[in-house]
Amino acid sequence: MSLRIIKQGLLTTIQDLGRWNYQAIGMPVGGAMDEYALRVGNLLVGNDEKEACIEFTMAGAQMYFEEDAVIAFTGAGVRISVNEQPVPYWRALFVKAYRLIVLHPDFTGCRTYLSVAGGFDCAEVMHSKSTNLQARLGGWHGRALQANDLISQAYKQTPVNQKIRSEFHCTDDVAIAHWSLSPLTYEFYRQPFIRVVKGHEWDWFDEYSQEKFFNESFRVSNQSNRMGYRLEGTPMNRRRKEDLISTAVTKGTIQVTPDQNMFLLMSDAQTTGGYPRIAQISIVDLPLCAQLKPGDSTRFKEISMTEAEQLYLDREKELEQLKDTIGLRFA
Amino acid sequence: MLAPFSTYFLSEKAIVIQLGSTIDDAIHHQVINLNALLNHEPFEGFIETVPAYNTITIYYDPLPVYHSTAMKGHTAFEKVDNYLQNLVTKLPQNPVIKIKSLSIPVCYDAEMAPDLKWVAKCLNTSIENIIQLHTSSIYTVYMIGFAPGFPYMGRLDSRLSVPRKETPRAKVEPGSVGIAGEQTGIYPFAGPGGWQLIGRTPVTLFDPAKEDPVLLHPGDQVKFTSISREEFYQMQPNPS
Repeated sequence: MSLRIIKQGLLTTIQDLGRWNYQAIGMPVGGAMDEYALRVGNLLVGNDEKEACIEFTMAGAQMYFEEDAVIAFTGAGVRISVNEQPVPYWRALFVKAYRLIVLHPDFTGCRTYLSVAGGFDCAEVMHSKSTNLQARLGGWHGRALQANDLISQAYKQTPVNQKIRSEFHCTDDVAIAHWSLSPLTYEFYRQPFIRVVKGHEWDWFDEYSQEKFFNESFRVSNQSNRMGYRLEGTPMNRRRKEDLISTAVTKGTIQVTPDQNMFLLMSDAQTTGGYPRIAQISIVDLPLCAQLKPGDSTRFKEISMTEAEQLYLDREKELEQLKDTIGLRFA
Repeated sequence: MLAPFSTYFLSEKAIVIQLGSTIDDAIHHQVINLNALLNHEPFEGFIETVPAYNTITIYYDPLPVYHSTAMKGHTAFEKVDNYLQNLVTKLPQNPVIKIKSLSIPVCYDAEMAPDLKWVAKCLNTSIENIIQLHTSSIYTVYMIGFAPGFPYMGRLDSRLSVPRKETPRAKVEPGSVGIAGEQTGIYPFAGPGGWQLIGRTPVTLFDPAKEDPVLLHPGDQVKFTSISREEFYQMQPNPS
């Protein structure tokens, strides 16, 4: 069972939840930009939430499966068709072999995840299937997918994989599962602001900059990729000019570079940095960041670190409930 | 004596413990000891640590920490914070930790050292003197960052202190040895880089196929030895 890539699109890579436990040796965690979409996508097809998926960046990719497959698309940014028939995000789908799947632009987001029942069959490197483009390791030969690549699927199917599949009665090119998630599962993507906790060096910036940080919008520049986004807007001016001794940074850290621009670190960010950290994106709002594309604007809203932790715990509880619900429904 | 320490929030999954506020070998030694102690006595939900010059960042899974009954506090952050405050008091005054010492061969031939001539001119000294100074100190690996396996090492003799390149080089050869300020480092693989390149090692610094993928770890002691071009090519496993 395999997936044939016809057109690779802008940037298409295999990602899971990242390569943990190697940050002390400088290895970025990497993994899906939108971890929430990846986790839900896996649950929809009956996989472990940590299974590797394919991450697409905006539109352009085309592909087909060489055998019938149970799949799901999660995330945002494209209209999806199977043999020209539109199919929705956030639903389990059954696609017949050799039906052409196309991701068309719709500009509502940036990253789409394709999960497949059983997962993709690629080797773990340093305990992860995530592609690290800088070190050229993991995923599919350490590189982005290209036209003509044939990605094998794993054959092993869990009972939940099998049960989800058995409920499809597909006579057409594609079938959409007759069950669906509560829209609440993905409606939070429409939230018009991103919540942040003030960074450790927040006080290094002058009052004017601090005020603008929360009252103006910032635009994602063209110099943005899986490592991070340069944010355009009011320059962040420092009142404390000393150098920061290099220390750890993480996904969601907003650093201010010497040119007074903000740089939001994302999945492939380096593990340490020497620029002052003005703010930290709350983990629950990182999926919103993952769906920002160059040219999009956003605003920041302050929350406390305790609120951020509570939001995180609540989100994890919701995912746990979703996992239990799907597990029970297809037990 | 333990440097004054404080802790702060980095993210919902990470807390930082900071020792003092300077780059200092004694403080770094405490960082390495505390890092060893933490990894030796992990708490429930502990993921990993990232030691740096005067900080250790501790990554954890907030869910098991929050539900842990062994740790005191109202939030996961408080629980980890309390754990750390307590652990620091257990840090031995003169801990016996194994310090790994390595000798790394470096070829300082002009072919391998695109900035050596510029550095000599900048410092108004001879190339021989630069090689002599660079190979006579023992360097501590302060942290690994920038790229997988890239060691930030110091201290470089202040007589070798030069600024970084104004515009980073687009492609640095793997194994290139660079200097910047009072630090020296080695680029594990090809890529962009802003340090002044004064030599190149044939030794592999990063191999993802190995159980331990890197040659150097924070706290290691490194000495450079000068080798010829011929020796470099004999030792290089994958000539480029």
